[in-house]
Amino acid sequence: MPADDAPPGTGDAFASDPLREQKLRELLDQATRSVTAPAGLAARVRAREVSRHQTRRRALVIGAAALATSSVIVGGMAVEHHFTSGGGLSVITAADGSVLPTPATGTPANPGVPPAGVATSSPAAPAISLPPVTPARPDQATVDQIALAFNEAFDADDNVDDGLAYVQNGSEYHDLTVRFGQQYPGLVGNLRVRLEDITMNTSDRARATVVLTHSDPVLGARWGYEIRRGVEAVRVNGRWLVSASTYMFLVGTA
Amino acid sequence: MDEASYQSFEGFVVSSGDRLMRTAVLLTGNRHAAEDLLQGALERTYRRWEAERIIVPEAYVRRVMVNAASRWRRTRQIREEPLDAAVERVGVEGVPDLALRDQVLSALQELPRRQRAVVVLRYFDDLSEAAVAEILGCSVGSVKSHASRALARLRLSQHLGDVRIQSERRR
Repeated sequence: MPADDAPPGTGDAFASDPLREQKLRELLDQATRSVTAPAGLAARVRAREVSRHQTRRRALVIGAAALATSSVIVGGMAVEHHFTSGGGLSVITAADGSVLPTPATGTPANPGVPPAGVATSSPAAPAISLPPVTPARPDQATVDQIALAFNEAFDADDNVDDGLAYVQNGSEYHDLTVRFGQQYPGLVGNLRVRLEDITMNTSDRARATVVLTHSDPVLGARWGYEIRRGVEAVRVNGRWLVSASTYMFLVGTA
Repeated sequence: MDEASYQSFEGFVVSSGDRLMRTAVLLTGNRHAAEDLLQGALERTYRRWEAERIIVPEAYVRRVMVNAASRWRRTRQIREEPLDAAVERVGVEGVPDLALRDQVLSALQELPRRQRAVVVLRYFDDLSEAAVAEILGCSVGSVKSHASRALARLRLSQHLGDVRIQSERRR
């Protein structure tokens, strides 16, 4: 049945009239007549949806756990949220704790201090010009004692009271520390403590940045948390201790 | 989804699955991509099955498939695989007409996605022009135009040359 307007030598099965449209209908029907849906399709759909739902729930749990800390290490990089007095500044550091250069200057970003020119969420300061204050650097013996206090306080071993001996009013935090250990059993033996930028506020008070790192014992070294916080040490009866407010903040709010 | 809802969903899949699978094959051009397309559309339907009343599930699945097929084609995610005779219903003569299917699918694949969708919905699923326009989100005039152009291209398709010969021999 050649079409009136079909070029010679070409197929003529269809043209714009009802008969040829009917021919197309028949062809489409014949061509797929033997096609059937896969067996058990409904069950397969349900299984996929159940699996998808479980995966989504798992992702939400992991996401919630990640958000519960200040920083999450993914692969080789970590995005951190600094809770300095300015607050609200995010920087990217390498997972091994080294600090990446900032894009503008190539100089290392100071983990505890927002880079110049970066707006933070702190309220605008009054326009008063103050002379720059150079923090006093402690001597090496003081640095060692403060570092020892933080290492012992957060050594995460089974003996709670040993660590609390290096915390200001440590005996008050016994129950809190026990609960913390029960809540995060994976931390035991896994937590690493490092102090940076120790400066003296007064002769008995020092500030520093503590970097607490632990990897997930199940997921491996590439997954874990790095918590970087401004902390305070106090000297009580000649001994340097982790200040009560710092310990309460790090352990009590974890 | 409770068991009663699943039963009704399963009943729908059993009753409409073959027909929808045929639509999927015509849209995608091969069985494997069609299975993926249909399953994806059914998964979407399953998620809405209980929460929202789907008045005409088959129309809903068809709409999802047409839209998804368009997206897949744009991103070239369809697995291009040769036709196979696996899981085929045996035809009247004892074997499925794979040669005819190959010709028809090849001819359809030559059409732009919009024209192909119009041909499948209009001439296989037998939907009205208004229904096709609603699914594709275009005007009835646009459907007519796509259908006309698609028919003209199919008439010139090399893949359907044998169909013309067979059709003439039968007369």
